[in-house]
Amino acid sequence: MTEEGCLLVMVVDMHPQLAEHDAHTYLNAVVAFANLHLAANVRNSLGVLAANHLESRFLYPSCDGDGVERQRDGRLEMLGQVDRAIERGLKTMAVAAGASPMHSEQSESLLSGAMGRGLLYIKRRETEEVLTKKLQSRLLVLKISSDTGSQYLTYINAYLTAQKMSTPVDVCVVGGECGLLQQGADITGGTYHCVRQVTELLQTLLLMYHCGPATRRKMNAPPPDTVDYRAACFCHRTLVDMASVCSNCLSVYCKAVPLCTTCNVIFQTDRPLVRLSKKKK
Amino acid sequence: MYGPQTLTCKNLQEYLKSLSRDILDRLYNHPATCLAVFRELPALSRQFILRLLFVNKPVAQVLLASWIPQHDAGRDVGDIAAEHRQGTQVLLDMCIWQEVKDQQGNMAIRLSSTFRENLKVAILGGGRPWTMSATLDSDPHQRNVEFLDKYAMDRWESVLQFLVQPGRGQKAISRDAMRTLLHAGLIESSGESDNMQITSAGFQFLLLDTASQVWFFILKYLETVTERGMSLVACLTFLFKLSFSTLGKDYSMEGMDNELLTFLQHLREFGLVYLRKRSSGRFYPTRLALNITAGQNKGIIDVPKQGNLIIETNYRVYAYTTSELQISLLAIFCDIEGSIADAFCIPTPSCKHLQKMA
Repeated sequence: MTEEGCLLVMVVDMHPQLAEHDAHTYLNAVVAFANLHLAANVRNSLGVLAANHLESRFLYPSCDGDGVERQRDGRLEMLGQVDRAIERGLKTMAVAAGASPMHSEQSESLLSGAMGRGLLYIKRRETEEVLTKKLQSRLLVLKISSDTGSQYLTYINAYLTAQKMSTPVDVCVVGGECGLLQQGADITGGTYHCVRQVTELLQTLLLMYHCGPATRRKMNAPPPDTVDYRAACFCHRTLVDMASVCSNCLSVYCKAVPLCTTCNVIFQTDRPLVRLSKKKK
Repeated sequence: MYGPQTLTCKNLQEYLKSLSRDILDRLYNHPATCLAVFRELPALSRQFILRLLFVNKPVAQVLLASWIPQHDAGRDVGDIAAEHRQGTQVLLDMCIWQEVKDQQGNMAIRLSSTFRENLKVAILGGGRPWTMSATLDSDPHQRNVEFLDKYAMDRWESVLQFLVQPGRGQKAISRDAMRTLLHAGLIESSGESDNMQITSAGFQFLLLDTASQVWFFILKYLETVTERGMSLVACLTFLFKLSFSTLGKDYSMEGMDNELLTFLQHLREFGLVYLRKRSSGRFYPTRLALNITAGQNKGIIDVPKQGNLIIETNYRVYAYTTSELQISLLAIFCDIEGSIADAFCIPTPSCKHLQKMA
């Protein structure tokens, strides 16, 4: 039985907070997982993006064409090339990030932008596919930084796009739980998992994220937790349980406001209710 | 006379299962083999291997059984359990897994350490490079992909042409190719003279796609390898290494002993590699050699061919092609009435030819 190849796009968090965990193990796990994906099937393909607090960047396939490179050790030639491309890209990113000082409010990586770019790449590959077969694709997000609600809207847009494209978004978070990404995995049909230590990362990736959705159904998995579906208000970016919602564009505000900042509709919040007088016949 | 036999071709798994355990152990001693075998396994078996790749101790069978989902909405769990069992059985048959007893005396599974180490090297690095090309400088007679494709198809078609018309052009292909064809039962010598005739298996072979033809041919060749005094393990390992090469790149012949050089020469005759001359010290794998072991999961193996064939309900056939091989193929079961400007010929099928094929 022929197996379809799968395009895996990895979005890797490269926030400077990574220094608190073991960066070496983290990167080794990422590269090993990428190699294992490509090795599993000759038709599998890969895209890797990295995001830190300043930018998001495409690491593989790299923009500058690689010359013919020879095997340096016992690894397959193509896999060695993946490794080198990722290393080069990460070095450039780290140098650029080190050049500008980090502000305290930049505690979050620009993962949502990177996810959007990943989805664009998937769409481009789909249109390039010669035989008009649906390219099986999935997105894997690795997050290590802390969470604020500031990218809520962009995340939701990305999830709904992925849902439309039938692309599952898998999420693996290192350190603490992340409700927003959990929502995304739930909406698109992907898997969410939280890993406490970086040393557990590779084994978790292999156990839960290596096989495609079809094979995943055949393996036992930990039961999913209840998802935190709270929305973040648009004025303060905090997660709220009760909120006022604009009737035109459905933006969420924690307090009633006279003007909706998204669609510029004016609400008159203090007008007393007027009872219509009944027309006398 | 014997009834018609269907041409069966083993895929890589079946072929390897037919080898002895000792040969398999020696084969798994090389990263390229382990990777090729890994790719050919079913998805569940691959998943099982990866889960145990970094675990050095034997794993209890009970744990493996816990991987089967207990309940699944709308699907029969029995099917999934059967797939799990099948996946495990494949791994046991191919000597990748061994059943042992763990410290508590329970039944456990252990991943073969040779396989594990070499698979890790092939995917994650370490070990020494096995294409030995690091010291190769750039080729003054660099060959591009189109040239290699043309070369490969020319050589392969000459083998097929010989099958179609064994009477003429006996010098067109090498003795080794002829020997392999005879062994495979695709041609047979009739009577006392040297005349060769194509068999019904040969007809079926001609109608396969190129990748299957090459794989079948190489399998049959490997069966004759021990008679020629070459080592099966060395040839198979080299074949696997070749299947992972990049098209258009040259590879070094350094460190290859005489056996392997003979094997390389044979591969050159079949069109799987291109060698400008023996002393140049480098060779180019062609498209036919890439992913040769891929079987069903082929990558980029088929060279696009041109041509159209129209068959009418009044049994007239029109062929638009420039390939001599295709015209000769048609001539086997049609009478060619005419051909126009090298591009068009009008064959008519006839019963007598069709009976000969059956």
